[in-house]
Amino acid sequence: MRSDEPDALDRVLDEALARYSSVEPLAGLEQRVLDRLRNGSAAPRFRFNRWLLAAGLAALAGMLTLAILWNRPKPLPRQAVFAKVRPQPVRGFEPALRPARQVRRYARRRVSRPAPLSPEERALLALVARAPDQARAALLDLARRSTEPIQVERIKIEPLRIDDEKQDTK
Amino acid sequence: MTARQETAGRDERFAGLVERQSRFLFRVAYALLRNAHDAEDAVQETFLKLYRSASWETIENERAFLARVVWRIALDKLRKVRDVPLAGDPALPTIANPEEAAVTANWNAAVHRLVDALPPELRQPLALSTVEGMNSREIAQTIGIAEGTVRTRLMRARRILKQKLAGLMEGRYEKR
Repeated sequence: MRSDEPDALDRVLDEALARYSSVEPLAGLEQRVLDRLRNGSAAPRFRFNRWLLAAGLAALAGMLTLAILWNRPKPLPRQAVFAKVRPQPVRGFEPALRPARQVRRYARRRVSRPAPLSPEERALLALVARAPDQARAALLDLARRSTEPIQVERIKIEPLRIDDEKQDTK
Repeated sequence: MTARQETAGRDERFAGLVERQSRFLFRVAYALLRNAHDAEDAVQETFLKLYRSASWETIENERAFLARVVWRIALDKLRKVRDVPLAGDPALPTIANPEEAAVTANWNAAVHRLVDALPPELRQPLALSTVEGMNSREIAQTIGIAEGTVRTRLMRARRILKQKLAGLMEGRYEKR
């Protein structure tokens, strides 16, 4: 019995292995493959076109955004500093504060306009237009004064006389 | 020849390819997946991929080429369903009592289970060797390893199977 074992093993093994992949597919495999090809060949193209369209739209939107950002007027440095200032919360007045977004919008609106001239500035402009020589002399005088050292006269403080005061009160 | 005629001719040639190779590809996929439904899916996916690539008309060895494609697709499928436990070594639990011993009289099923329990590097070439008409060279091309390696692995796999089968026949794994 032992001598027959290797042959028996080989025989069993060969027979079993021969059947390992000898499985038949369900009838009509070829037809199902062809049907799927007919149904499936159109779908990917459509999907590809749809993705292409979506990518094109995304690219267009990106370009538009860039163009808008590029053409936006740049704020002046002074205005930029002004725009960065955030309103600090004031104790006791919190309810009166506007929401942050509103404050930012308000700041931007103010920044975009040129600041109106003060009455002094307007008077100076009028003086320059009317009498340029006089204005020039005034400016030079102002500049000279601002650079000159300030001279203060000595102040003399006399000591208080306590005896006299006492006598007066008596 | 018009474009429509060209397309019709092309489709006809492709249908011929499907007719010629579908069953062979099914067996290759089945050897790895061990599931008819999954194997058919792999075959359909192979032809769909091939049809879209439009490179099938210039294939020299269509059988080897298609076997390689379906093998890769089947491997991908296998990776996805890896969580599903494979049939383990059947020798230990299946011969627990006389009834189960009677079941193992079906040696084919027992050997198939033993093959399934082999490590992948041995199981894969052995499974392909069971596909009708596949020799060592074709197996090597399909898996992407050297032909000599295929032969070595086949011998090792066969030796292991014989040892386990001998154990089964002698009732070595019987519970006492």
